[in-house]
Amino acid sequence: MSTLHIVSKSPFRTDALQRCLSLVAPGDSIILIEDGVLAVNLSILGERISGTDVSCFALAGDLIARSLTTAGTEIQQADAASFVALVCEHRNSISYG
Amino acid sequence: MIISLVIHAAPGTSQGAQTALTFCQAALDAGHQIYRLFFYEDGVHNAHALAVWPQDERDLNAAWATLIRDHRLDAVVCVASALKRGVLNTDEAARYEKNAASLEPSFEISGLGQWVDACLHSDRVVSFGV
Amino acid sequence: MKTLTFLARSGPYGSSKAKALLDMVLSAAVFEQKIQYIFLDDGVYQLLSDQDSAQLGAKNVSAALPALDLYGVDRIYLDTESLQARGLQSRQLLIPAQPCNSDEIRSLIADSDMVFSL
Repeated sequence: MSTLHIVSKSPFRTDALQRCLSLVAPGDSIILIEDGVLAVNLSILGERISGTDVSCFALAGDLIARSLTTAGTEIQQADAASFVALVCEHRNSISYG
Repeated sequence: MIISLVIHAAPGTSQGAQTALTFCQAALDAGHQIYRLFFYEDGVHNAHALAVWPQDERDLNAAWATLIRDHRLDAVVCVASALKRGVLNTDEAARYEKNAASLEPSFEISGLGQWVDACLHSDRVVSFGV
Repeated sequence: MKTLTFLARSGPYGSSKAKALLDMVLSAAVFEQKIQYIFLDDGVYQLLSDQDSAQLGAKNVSAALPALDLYGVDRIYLDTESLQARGLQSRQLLIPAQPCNSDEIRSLIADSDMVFSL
């Protein structure tokens, strides 16, 4: 059983991503949504998930709108249907503001 | 699965309400049951019947009302949050002697007990716009 | 009965989040759910004693905290790292809270059916 961490704020605005990274546990997943996708190229995120069994996703619509991509990162793109599936696959979720 | 949503954000200010609406539609499309939509704090502005949107923007208030009606969803606005933000149904408008009711009729006004009830009866509760 | 965990991450007064989360905690307590109330990040400021909001014309958010005990909410935790990062380690707290670290918070979350963070 695991947790889906939902980060919706820019890492330069709030400590949402920082807190998420301190609480994420093996087997958990992270999804970046809204301004949360501004973290997509951040090394602290990449280093935290690299070589672990923590999966990280970013909502495709939010990336495209902001002219961002996950190219060169270990972050996977998710659409709304995948977001719903992620919620169902994890026991609980935390929305960080 | 049985899913409930808690919406904290007003439409038009931050993206949270739009994300919640898209998520809700995707969950329904995937065959999940939405047990309840609970609108809390600024989220109650989604239930405003008097909002008028510019023609070149998506009317989120209307989009929620349509989704709720089409799928017969249970949509509750928190009474304490709603009253102080001027979201009143006809009963509350009469009780507090206000000259207009502003709650879109597809929503109901109730208390946080309905949020607890949603926690008890749902497999997942997801928060948006925190 | 469900296990509901609440992450209080916002300071008092600057927004309504502290009060909004407390109201959720008290409502869940009325329905006799298992509640874990964790104060971390700026949320640790909610626990400082001697808050006086009179000059703000706002209600004292901390005034309701001692009532948690009456509602049977006794699993109250405080992230010591957040307290230290804010230079508050020697400050008097309004209610007893069990000191905890990130490892312990992770396991509290893993045991939860639902988590709410404000």
